Amino acid sequence: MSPGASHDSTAFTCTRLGQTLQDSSHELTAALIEDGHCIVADEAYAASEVLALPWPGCGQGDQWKDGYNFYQSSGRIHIEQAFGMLSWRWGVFWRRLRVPFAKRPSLVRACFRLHNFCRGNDNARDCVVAPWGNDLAGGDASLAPTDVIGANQRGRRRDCERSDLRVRMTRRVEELGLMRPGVGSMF
Amino acid sequence: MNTFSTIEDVQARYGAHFHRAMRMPADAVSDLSDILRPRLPRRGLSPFCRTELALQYLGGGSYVGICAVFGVHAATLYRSLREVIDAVNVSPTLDFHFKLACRRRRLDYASGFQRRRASPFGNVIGALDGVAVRQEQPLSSDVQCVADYYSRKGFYAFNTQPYVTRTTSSNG
Repeated sequence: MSPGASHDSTAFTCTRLGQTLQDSSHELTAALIEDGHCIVADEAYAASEVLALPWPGCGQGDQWKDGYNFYQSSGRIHIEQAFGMLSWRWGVFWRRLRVPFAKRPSLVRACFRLHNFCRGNDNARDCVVAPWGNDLAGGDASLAPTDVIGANQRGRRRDCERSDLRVRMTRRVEELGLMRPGVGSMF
Repeated sequence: MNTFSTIEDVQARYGAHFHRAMRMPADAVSDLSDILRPRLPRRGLSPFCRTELALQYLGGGSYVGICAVFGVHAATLYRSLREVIDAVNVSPTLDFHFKLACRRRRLDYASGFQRRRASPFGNVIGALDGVAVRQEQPLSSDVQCVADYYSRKGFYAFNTQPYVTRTTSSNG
């Protein structure tokens, strides 16, 4: 747990998992890369071979990057829902924590653990999830594949971040011909 | 105070609002107090009672109301809260079960993720994000720089970095 002023990316680097995932020579990270497994995150983090980030600038006109961004962000929904459930369940989060400073991190940690305990115990009755299944994507258009940024597109620093993982996943979206639902007619 | 030593007493008092007050069903509360029992003090309030006090506080109850209902002093409530939090944090049963090192688990997470939203990616095993936990302004005696805790959202906060796998969440 880091001070509130720190950036998400900095805060993650300070965690044990973050440090492990940064070090590509680590056994765990190597295993993840080998299996191609990854964790989805939002733009606040640095792209790497184990963290799948959305393409900056809405894919900058590339439909497959945009498609990738859509499916990537629907994976991120789970964590946002988890936050929703957590803050709904533990009313201490509804207002500012008032316990002594030194005990605040352990209180937050205990709430997370108890949340997992409740998830293990509760059944469907208590399950607060969004209705699924109505956002299945269709779309069979195909256009010339591009993984490089066009010359006319604004180059941001984020574009320089190398992530083969993201390129591979975008290619997968392209192979399946999946686009963001509802934008097929635009291309 | 003695009338609150068994789950039936509390259930009778709260009735249909039990789940609302404790944030979990009655059998989960008794399971939880059984898990925490070895790590809570044996003297004084029963482990069950301590667990309930803490759960009500974490569930958003005001210390005034909780103390009035349970007939305990505010100091007892806060002590119970501290003891239960410590017990929860050291109980291996309640540990986060996000095990990345095990390949079989990873495949399990990946298939869970894919199933939930018909995702085209079979390799996503978790999601990561940060959350700002609102808190009172830290005392300058507690921290080196109070401004470090003032988040971009306009309140004093902790930046917590949790990750989730399938439907369970873990805190990194």
